Amino acid sequence: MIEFDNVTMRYGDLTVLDRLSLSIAERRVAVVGANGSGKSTFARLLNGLIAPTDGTVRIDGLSTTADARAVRRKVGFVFQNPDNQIVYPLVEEDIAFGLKNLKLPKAEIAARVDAVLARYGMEHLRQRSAHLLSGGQKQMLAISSVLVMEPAYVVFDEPTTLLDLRNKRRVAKAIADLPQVAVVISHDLEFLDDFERVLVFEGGRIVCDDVPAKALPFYRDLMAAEPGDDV
Amino acid sequence: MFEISLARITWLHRVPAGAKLVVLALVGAAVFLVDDLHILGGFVAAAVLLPLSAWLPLKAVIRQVTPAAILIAAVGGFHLLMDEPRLAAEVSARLGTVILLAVVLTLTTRVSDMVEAIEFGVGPLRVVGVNPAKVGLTLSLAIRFIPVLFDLIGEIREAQKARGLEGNVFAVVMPLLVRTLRMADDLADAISARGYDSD
Repeated sequence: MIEFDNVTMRYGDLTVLDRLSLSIAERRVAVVGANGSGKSTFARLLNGLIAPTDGTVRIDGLSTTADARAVRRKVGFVFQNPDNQIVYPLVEEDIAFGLKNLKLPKAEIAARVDAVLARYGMEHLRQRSAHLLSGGQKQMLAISSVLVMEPAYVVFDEPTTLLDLRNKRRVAKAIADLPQVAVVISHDLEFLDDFERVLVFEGGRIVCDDVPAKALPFYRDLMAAEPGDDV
Repeated sequence: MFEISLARITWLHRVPAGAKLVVLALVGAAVFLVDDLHILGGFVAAAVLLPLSAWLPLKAVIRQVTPAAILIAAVGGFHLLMDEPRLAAEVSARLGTVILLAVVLTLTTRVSDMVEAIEFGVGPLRVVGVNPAKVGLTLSLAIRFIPVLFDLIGEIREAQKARGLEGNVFAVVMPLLVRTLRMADDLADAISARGYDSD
């Protein structure tokens, strides 16, 4: 269970999130909103990458501030640009990086790397230099590197933004097939129809919290309106 | 293209990374202590024979050696003009040996193995405040991001060329700096998110 209790996030005078309170128990939650609406800040709060200015964020009862290390084991995070999150030059080395941080035995690391490479059909890429991969392959590597750590929750920050349609579909299918809870920030609305819940952010607040059939049309109308118009 | 380690396993791949690093360090020190041209010639010959003995693909070796060869030629040429031929030969032999061995090391050693060996090697320096995990991560990130930065420079140069700014160094340096800093920020977040703990 993800819980936000009266969370405010400020950068200097700028309030990015304003007294946000909600609980998330669904398995598939999408977050949409205009640029600068606060959705990326919301995502970073989930993993404890940033601490709220006021209020508390809890993951299964653990505070993202006080129990940040434990929270990071529970919550995986896939960033928008895979090039900025691949740490090691070779595919299999990068997948193993998070597992080494968990201080797992070498045999278990090798077994988990094999399993995740097989799961996403990337065995043939295991010795490949990461920078020689295509955009879609890099994003699948980034996703594999997070999933291999077996988090209970996975946050995706615009995972399909830099991809072509084929790779967008591949990543969307990978997310749909996950056994974990997935919180997905996305501008690709066509992949969100099967989600259980959609949060629409605007000006640091959630302005709509509903099923896709209702929240997505609301968001489309919101984006079609001129600033200042009532939706 | 920037290849890090060849996928084909040779006898050099099977030598532990730590042993290869120690040999590189010892030979690197030895060539600078020796000034006998015959001995230096022996070092160069050994460094040339090493990749041949393991049947490493010549194309990959040459691709990695070429930029360094230009540097050796420049330094050797400088000494040839300013000093004497003997000194030019000595300097070229020293640099050539070390660079060839370094190329063989990078072509036959996985980065993670090299990082583990270096972390082990700098372990005793904990007493003077050196953190082996940080040293290892810095090394792996440096190797990982060299080709990424080359790609970034190419991308920015193309963009500036399209705007008619191909001769303007600042037009390349400034966006490069901004994007590199942003990338570093994202990378720090990504490393934290994957449970990295340097302590």
